[in-house]
Amino acid sequence: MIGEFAISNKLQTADLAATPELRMDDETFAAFYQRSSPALWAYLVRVSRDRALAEDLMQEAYLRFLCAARIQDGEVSCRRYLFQIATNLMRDHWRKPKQNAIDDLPEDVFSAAAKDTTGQLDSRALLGPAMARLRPRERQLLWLAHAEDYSHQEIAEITGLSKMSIRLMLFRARHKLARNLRQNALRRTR
Amino acid sequence: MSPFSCPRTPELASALKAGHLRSAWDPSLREHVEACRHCADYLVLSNTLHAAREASMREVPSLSPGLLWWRAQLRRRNQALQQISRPTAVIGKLALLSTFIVAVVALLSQRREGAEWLRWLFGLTEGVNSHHALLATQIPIWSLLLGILSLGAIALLGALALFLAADKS
Repeated sequence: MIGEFAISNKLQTADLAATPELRMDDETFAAFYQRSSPALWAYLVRVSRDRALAEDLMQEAYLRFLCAARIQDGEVSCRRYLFQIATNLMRDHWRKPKQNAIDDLPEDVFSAAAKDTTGQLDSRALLGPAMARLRPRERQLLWLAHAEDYSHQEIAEITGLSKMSIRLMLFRARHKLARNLRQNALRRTR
Repeated sequence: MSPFSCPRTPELASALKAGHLRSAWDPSLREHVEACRHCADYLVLSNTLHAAREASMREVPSLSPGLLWWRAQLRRRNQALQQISRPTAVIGKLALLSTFIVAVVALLSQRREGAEWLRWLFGLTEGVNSHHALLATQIPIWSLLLGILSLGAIALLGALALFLAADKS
C-alpha cells in the first residue's frame, strides 16, 4: 500500500518527459499529421459512411500510432501502419453488437464539387449509393486498391488477409461496384 | 487469362498510377480497354474512387496535432502507471482471498466451540453467573483466545483489503 502510494506520487510529480517516449516528437508528428490526415480521413469517411464515427476513429488511430511500441522506418511504412490501425479500428467497431442499424448517410455527404463539370461528376454522385450496397470489407479493399493504389501485398499487411483472399475478394467487389454504378446510372437516365 | 484478372490490367494500373492521359496510352491498350469488360470496370472504378478521394480530402476536419500528441503522452503515462501498480493490485487480491480462507477455516474448526460460546453468551444475557457459566461450559481458555485473535485478524485483513480496493478506485 505504502509502496504503491509512493510510486504513484513520484510519477505524478515527475516531469512528463520522464515517462516512456512516444515514437515521434511533437514537431515531427505535426508534419506527418499534415501530410497523412487528408488521405486517412478520406479512407475512414468513405468506408465507414459515418462522418462522426470517422472523426472518432481518426483521432484514436493517431493516438494508437503515437503510443505504439513498434518503430516504423520511413514515411511510407508509417502511413501503411496508420492505415492498418484504422482498418482494425473499423473492424472492431463493426464487430460490436449494435442496437440500431446504421442508416444510409444523406446524399449531401458525398456530393461532388459544384464547379466540377467533367464526366467524373456523375460517377462520383453515384458512388455513395453504390458503395452503400457493398460490405464494409469490400469497401475497404476497393478503397485501398483503387483510391490509395496499394498493391495486394500492402493490402495484405494492412488488413491481415492473405494475398489470395484479397485477389478473390477484390475481383468480386470490383464487379459488384461496377455493376451497382451502371445500374444507378441507368436509373438516373430514366 | 486468370479468372481474377486480365493480363493487361497491370499495364493499365501502371498507366493510371503514372497519371498518363488516355491520349498518351499505347493505342493497343486503349483499344483493349474498350473491348475488355474487366479493364473497363477497373478504369471506371479507379477514376471514380480517385475523384472521391480528392473530394473527401478537401473536407478533412481540423484537429490539432499538438493536442493529439499531448493526449498520446498522457495515455502512455497512464499505461506506465497501470503496469507499475499491477503487482500491488495482485497482492491486494491475494490478501482478500487469504482473509476469506482464514475466516472459513476458523469457522469450520471452531464450530463446536462456537455452539458452546453461543450457549454461554445466552447464559450471560439471561443473568446467569458468568463465573459459573464459564466453568459449566468447560470452554478451554486457549480456544476462546484463539477465536478472539482470529476474529481480530480477519477484521484487520478485511479492512486492509477494503482500503486497497478503495484506494485503487
